[in-house]
Amino acid sequence: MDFRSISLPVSNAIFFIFGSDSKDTPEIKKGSSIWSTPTCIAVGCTPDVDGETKITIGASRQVGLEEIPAFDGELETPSRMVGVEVVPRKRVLEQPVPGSRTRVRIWVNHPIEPDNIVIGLN
Amino acid sequence: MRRAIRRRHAGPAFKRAGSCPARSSRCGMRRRPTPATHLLPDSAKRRAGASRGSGSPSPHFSGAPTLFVWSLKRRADRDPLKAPPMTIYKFTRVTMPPTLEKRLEVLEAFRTLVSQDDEHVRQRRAEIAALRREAEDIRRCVDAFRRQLPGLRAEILKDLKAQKYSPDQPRVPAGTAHGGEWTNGGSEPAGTELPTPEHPKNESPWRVVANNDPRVLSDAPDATWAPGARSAQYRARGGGWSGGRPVMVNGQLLEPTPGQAARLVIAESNWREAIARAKEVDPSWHPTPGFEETVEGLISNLEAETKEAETHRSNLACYGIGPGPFAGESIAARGPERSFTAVEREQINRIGSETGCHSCGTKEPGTRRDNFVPDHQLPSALNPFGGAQRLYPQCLLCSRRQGGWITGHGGGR
Repeated sequence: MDFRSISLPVSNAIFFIFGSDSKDTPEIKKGSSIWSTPTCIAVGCTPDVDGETKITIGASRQVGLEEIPAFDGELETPSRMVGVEVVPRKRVLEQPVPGSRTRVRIWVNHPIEPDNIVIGLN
Repeated sequence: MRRAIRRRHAGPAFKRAGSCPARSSRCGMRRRPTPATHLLPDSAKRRAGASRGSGSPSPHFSGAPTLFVWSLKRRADRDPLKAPPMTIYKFTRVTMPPTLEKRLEVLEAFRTLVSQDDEHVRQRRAEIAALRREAEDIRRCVDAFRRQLPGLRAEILKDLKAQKYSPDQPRVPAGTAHGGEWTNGGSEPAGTELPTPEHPKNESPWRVVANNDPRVLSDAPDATWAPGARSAQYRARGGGWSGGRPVMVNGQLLEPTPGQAARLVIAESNWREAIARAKEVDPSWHPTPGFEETVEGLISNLEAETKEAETHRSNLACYGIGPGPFAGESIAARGPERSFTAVEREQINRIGSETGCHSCGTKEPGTRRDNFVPDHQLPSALNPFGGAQRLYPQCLLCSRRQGGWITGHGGGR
């Protein structure tokens, strides 16, 4: 599994990780920067007006960090593809995965407003 | 005995008046009863009794003859041959059937007639109550129209100004076919188009400009309109309706009362406006369909759907879709781009510090650099035709909520 990376200004300071064409986005609540449903993970980041956000996605063994991830959970991936989308549903990154369920771990460099986010897949 | 009583009571009066008893009798004294002494107040009755002196309880000659004879004398002095006017009372006897059975029949017939009268009265009362209710409905509708009038007038004036309306523009003189209409100085009104092969002169010459303004709500089938033509088609689900015609409700043509017709016009107008406003920000939204069998049911459903649309729009405003409940000052957006000048950022931060996030009202931006997020309204994802947008300050959480909502609803249109 290869890894991919992109830096871009993210509108609405949030992007989404989908494993299918689901529209089931999680409810955004105060006190966190990552929210999830079985089919979608929403990750808060730096607002576009304050700068770009670097997003890296790949296998955990390649991109994973030593630190404890900010998020560790499973995502339904019936399409065998994990995609990163920004508002309005614009896919900016894709990574193929082998199974219909994928373990996702996310590392961030700031608890509320990160500008460097690493997504590790298993 | 009656004559004796009469003489005893009338005697002193006759003496005072110097009149003849026989004459007074001839002039109707016996036939004329006391002039309503039972209707006199107590004081007057007492005076009348005192004038008699004897305090006789006789109800028929209670002192009045004295006055009457006095006036009779005066009349007799003026015209001795002319008798004073008198009132002749006719006493009628109710003829009753002789047997009990017949009387019973008569009573039953009488009761039947009375009950019929009662039923008629009840019906009339019900009709009057219905008319009163309708009048009250019409009054409410007129009040509603009156309340909406200033807003409508302002909108129309705004549109006219946008179309470079000038009150000094000349009009076609009265008395001509197009009298009173705007003109450029010629004989034809300003909006009249010359006949074309596609639209010969014998067709309706009146055309309205094709309207792409989403604020203008018209369900006319196309851009043409002719005076008297059927317009204001009722929503497709319910059938067609224009004022004064039967309403298609659930496949049936129903005739609304005048009050219902007025309320239906109001309800439909509000319904169209609310649905359009809700769909403007959420094109995929539809109101919960209702079921109606009567005109009243139709009006109720329209009102319920109007309320649902307004609630939906209000809920969306809390997600940053549309200016929120705390929206105050705003600045014009140069476009949908997310590149903002330092001045724009400064203005947004100033507005945010004064009125807070337009969605939730907080004055804490929640960002690391304490900058409010400039938020396009309508959101660019929901503004595919590039309509004018305004920038409002938004906090980080509300900005993310807005992004979540847009993504969850397909990313806009």
